[in-house]
Amino acid sequence: MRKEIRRSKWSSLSHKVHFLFFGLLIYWSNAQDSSSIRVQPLQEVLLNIEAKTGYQFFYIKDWLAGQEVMEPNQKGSLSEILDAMLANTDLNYYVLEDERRVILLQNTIIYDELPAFFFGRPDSLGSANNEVATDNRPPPAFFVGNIRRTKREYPVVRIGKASTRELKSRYQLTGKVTNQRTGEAVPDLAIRLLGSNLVALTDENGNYAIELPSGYNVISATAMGIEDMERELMIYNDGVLNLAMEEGLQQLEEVTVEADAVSNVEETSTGTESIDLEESKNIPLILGERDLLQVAKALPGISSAGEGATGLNVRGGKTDQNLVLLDDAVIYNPTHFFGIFQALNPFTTEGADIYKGSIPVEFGGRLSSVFDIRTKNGNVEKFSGEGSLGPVTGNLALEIPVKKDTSSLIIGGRGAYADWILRSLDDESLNNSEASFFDVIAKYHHRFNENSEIKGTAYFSRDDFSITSDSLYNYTNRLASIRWDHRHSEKTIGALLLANSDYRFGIDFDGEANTDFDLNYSINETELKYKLNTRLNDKHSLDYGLSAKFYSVNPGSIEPVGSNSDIAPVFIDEEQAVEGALFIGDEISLTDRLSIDLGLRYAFFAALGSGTQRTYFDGQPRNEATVQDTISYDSGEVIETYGGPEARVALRFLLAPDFSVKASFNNAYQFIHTLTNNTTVSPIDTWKLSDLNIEPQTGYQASLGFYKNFNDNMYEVSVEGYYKEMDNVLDFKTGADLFLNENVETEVLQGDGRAYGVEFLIKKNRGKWNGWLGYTYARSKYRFDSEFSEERINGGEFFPSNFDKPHDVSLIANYKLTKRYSFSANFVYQTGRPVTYPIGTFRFNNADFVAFSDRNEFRIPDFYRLDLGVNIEGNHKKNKLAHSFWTLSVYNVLGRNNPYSVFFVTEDGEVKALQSTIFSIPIPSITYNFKF
Amino acid sequence: MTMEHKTSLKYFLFFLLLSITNSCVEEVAVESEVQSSLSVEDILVVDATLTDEVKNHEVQLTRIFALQGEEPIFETGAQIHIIDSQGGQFSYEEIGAGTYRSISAFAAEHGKSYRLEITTANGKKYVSSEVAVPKAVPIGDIRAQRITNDREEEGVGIFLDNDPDGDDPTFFRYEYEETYKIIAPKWDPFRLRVVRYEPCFSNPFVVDIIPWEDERRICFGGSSSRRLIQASSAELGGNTIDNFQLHFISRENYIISHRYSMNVTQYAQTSDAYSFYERLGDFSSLDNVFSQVQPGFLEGNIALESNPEELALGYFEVTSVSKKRMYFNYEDLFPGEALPPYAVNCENLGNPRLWPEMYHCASTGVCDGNCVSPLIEGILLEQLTFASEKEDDFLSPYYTWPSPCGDCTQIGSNVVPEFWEE
Repeated sequence: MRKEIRRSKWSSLSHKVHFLFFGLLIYWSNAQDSSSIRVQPLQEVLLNIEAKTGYQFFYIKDWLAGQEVMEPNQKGSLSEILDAMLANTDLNYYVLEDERRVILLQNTIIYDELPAFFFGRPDSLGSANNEVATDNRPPPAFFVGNIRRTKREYPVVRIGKASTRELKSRYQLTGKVTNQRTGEAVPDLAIRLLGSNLVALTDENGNYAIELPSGYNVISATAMGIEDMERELMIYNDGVLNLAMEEGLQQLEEVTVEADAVSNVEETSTGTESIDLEESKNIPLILGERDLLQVAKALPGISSAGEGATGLNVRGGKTDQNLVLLDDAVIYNPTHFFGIFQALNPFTTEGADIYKGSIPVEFGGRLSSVFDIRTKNGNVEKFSGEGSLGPVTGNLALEIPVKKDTSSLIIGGRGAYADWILRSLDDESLNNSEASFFDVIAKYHHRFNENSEIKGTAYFSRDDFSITSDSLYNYTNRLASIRWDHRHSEKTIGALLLANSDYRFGIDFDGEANTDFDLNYSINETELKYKLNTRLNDKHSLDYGLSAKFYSVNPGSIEPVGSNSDIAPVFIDEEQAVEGALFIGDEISLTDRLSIDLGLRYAFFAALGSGTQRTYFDGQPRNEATVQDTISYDSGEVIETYGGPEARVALRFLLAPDFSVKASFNNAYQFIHTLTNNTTVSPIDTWKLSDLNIEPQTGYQASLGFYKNFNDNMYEVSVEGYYKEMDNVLDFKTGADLFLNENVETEVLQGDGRAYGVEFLIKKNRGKWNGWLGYTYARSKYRFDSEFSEERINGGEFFPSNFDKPHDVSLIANYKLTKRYSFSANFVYQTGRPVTYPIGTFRFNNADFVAFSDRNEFRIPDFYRLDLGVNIEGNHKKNKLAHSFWTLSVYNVLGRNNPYSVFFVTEDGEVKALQSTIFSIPIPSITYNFKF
Repeated sequence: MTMEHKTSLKYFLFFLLLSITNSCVEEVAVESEVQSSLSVEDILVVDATLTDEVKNHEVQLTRIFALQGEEPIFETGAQIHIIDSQGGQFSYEEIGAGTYRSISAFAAEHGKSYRLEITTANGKKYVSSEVAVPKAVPIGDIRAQRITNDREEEGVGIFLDNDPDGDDPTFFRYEYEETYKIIAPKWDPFRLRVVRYEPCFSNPFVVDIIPWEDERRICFGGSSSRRLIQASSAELGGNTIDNFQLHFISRENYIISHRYSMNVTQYAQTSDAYSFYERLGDFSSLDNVFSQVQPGFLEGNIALESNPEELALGYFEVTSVSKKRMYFNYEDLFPGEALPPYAVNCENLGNPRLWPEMYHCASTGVCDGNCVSPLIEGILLEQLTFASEKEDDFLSPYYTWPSPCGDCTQIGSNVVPEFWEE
């Protein structure tokens, strides 16, 4: 602390030196041609004048310390002499002719008349003609004590010298901000006038200009990586204040909150959502689990095929079009238990940025969205922890400081423990059922200095479940990432990251027969990425970098288990590929109102051997009969390359400081696809890389939106419309065999999709009541056309997707009654999703079958659900070991039997209609949360 | 933990279990009035197969019927022709409601392709795509093997091999007819005969035994395959089909008790036809409640000529047929082991009354009590067969078996099939 104070003193001193030096420089340039001029200490000069004129000067000696002025060599009145002499100092004077006294003043002036209306406002009619120029003088600047400063003490700075000729209500303060240690200019430093909305930013050279009211002001200066500073100013006139800033940890919270408050209006990108998991902890969700993905689904434009359905559909895109990143590494299946729980620890997860419109140029490889989920940094000061116990799951997270203020570790673990209770129930058929899962995460971060930080994350999750007693399904996610953030200079920051992700599933079949098998699928990817951001100047901010990814996929294998098994082993050749990208984006602030993001990303993909690929005759449907050739590739040989440029363009125009219009356009390539022939995602869907026969998916999206904040950002209102086209999206011939199929291209259909919608969102950010109401009208349609009937769906016409739900209303409301009690509600209404419904029965081959209409021609009944929750905080006694709260929630309070699916089976020649529901009754749950 | 908490916990868990164990699937009423752009009657269903056998081939035409409907609507009065790629034309005539048969016997010839043309009574003309005759592939071997299936049942698996020439993958659909010998376990040379059944007359209930007039001990039962059976060498990598399991019969099933025969018909299919039948099967079964196979309109190869987008449901299949019969004896696979239980329980001897309980006559011919003889009724309804006589019991003079135990014609035919070989 003491060191800091010393440094701050030094810094303010250095300002002064700077300032004086600057002033002298001007002086010298003005006086160059006059060789007779002599510079003398001011005090000496004043004494001289006293001696010569008999006038007496009154001043404080400190004011004159170090001040040198030209010896007055002109003849003239005292005023003229003093004017010339004091021109380059911060001194004023007031001459009392009668007493032959001269009073020197620092900065200020003496008001020789009272301000207008000092004795009350005169009759306005009568005084209209009597106004004199000085009536417009603003009142004198007094030291007002009611604006309190909160930061470190700096001496009050006096700016400018009041001049009777230049009295204004506002003066311009200019200056340059430098990094005290390096001497470099600090760009993008926000200088704010406390108690007002006035903000100025420094340009790339650290220069700023701000209009301040005369008199006492407190300004604050904040910037990334810079210690915040507050300064008290007395403004007398236009002036210069150069600031030397110390480096420091920025106060994230404050800046983030401020930034977020206006960001939805100010930022250039469209379709961006941020979820802070801590803030959303009150939202009642199934089984009291704090769930980021469920919260995401309550936002406009994000939905899933049904309750409990794995996979998210963003703006009419398919479930495989989302890039879900956990600390920069892809997480292929972020859910547990068929999508009912998220596979992310709620206590280690900080939040997520969701990009559904303009995706930042650094991300790519998926058409619809990016979920950029971040894990918290551990507490670097003290050991702390957080946990919860619910009816089926337990969560625990610990934050362990490793080196104070430098590094720490955060570890989290979660598990479901329903199994033992399942077994203890009497029902025999349930005793064999199994459903368990767990996930663990660890993140270490180490801050070397202000310019360099390293973070590493490791994560593992596993699900086991059995549907029949003899087959055990499991799937696992494993990922690890390491990231080094580095500030190369004031203008350039970089991040180097390396991530590896692995997703696999297996089925262990262990029956009594000779068909025991072990079936496996896995995908592994490694990515290396280097991205940089350079603030060229106050108009251009560049994001650029490159990334490279290597994929290795085991598309499926089946092996007999045990010596009795007659299962023939099958190993489908591994697939390999590299995906790379070069990207550059420029955030251009054309004017205060208009900003443009221009981004270009070149995506590249190469499918690599070893392997074999078939070619098919042109003009014929792809099937076994139309195989032209089979080509073998050696290890590492390039099978096929794809790629192309992707544009990321966004534009923002501020109609008012809190009202903006934005437009964006982008396109993308996707080289990896899920294979599924089910109506909803199943955990055993596989991912397939593009190859000779399966082309990458491409997408285009344009969006336009209006964003308005009210009431000091308490309310946010936005309307955003989008139109999206997709090409080469995958679907499959109905009833296709996709797993363990070496020639999956014969089952794949590639068609186009079209999605459009309007999203309304009203958010209340603060207050006892807060939450949001979203309404989306959205359509999502696909078309699979071909000249061959087997490659057509619905006769090649557009049809609604499985997740096409035109009307979607989400309401999330929180009410904080007291510090201890808060209530929350979550209401969802959605149009029933399309299903394929039979139109009748037909007899064929001596049996009855149901005849289905065109795909997705009917809809199941509308979906609606209300959940309620109460949070009860423990008492806030001091010295309590842990802070705790209870969450009580009821899921589906209305007990609505929302159908998940309707389907038909033929049993004993009869057609039966069956309906499945995931949660048909209200489900209460209670969760104990604690924090220490 | 409070009581309430416990209850809610259980409540929840119970529910969770429901969802795990598929119990949240419930049968629902079918919406009868389904709004559709297609009305049910609009869709013609065509079931047409042309084989390479010389015979009168058949085509069946129906319409889709309502989900709860009992019987299809037969499409009558249609004109049907098959036209080959060399211009040959074969006409069909209607031989029963919705069933049409070729007027002349003919066979699909290899190297030619065929087209089906249907003109319905309302004047709409449907045509099929041109279908080539798939390569003829003889069935290689069919055999029965003692196995345990994946549901832990022991029994007999019937396996098939074939080995087509050439390298092209082959596609097959199978149908079978099974025929099996039935031996009535409690057969007796004698049968019960009703001599007199005249309640309230003199000597009202008379039953005696006489020798069977015909074969009642050894019969032959049979049935046809009811599910879709398909095999393809494409899924096996090579083009031979080895050890393909056509059928499984539990060892608890009486049909394998003695001698069993299966006549397998192998239809070589085009890959398109194979795919049609495969989809047909997928749409009518369910594997997992959480993810359901995406069904859709089952596109066949027949459409309206004037509007190829208006499809008929069904398929015109041209196929090469190969048939093969196999036999096995229970003794071959389960030597010295107990036979499967018979079709009906033949453990319990019956002893029905000849004279009814509470038999009472008001006067001659006028019954005012119970005048129905259980024994005689059982004989007349063929529910009973003779087991043995019961001495000294005037009221219930015979022991009986449920009739299939002593009379195999109750569950089979006593005519030896022409093909049957011992």
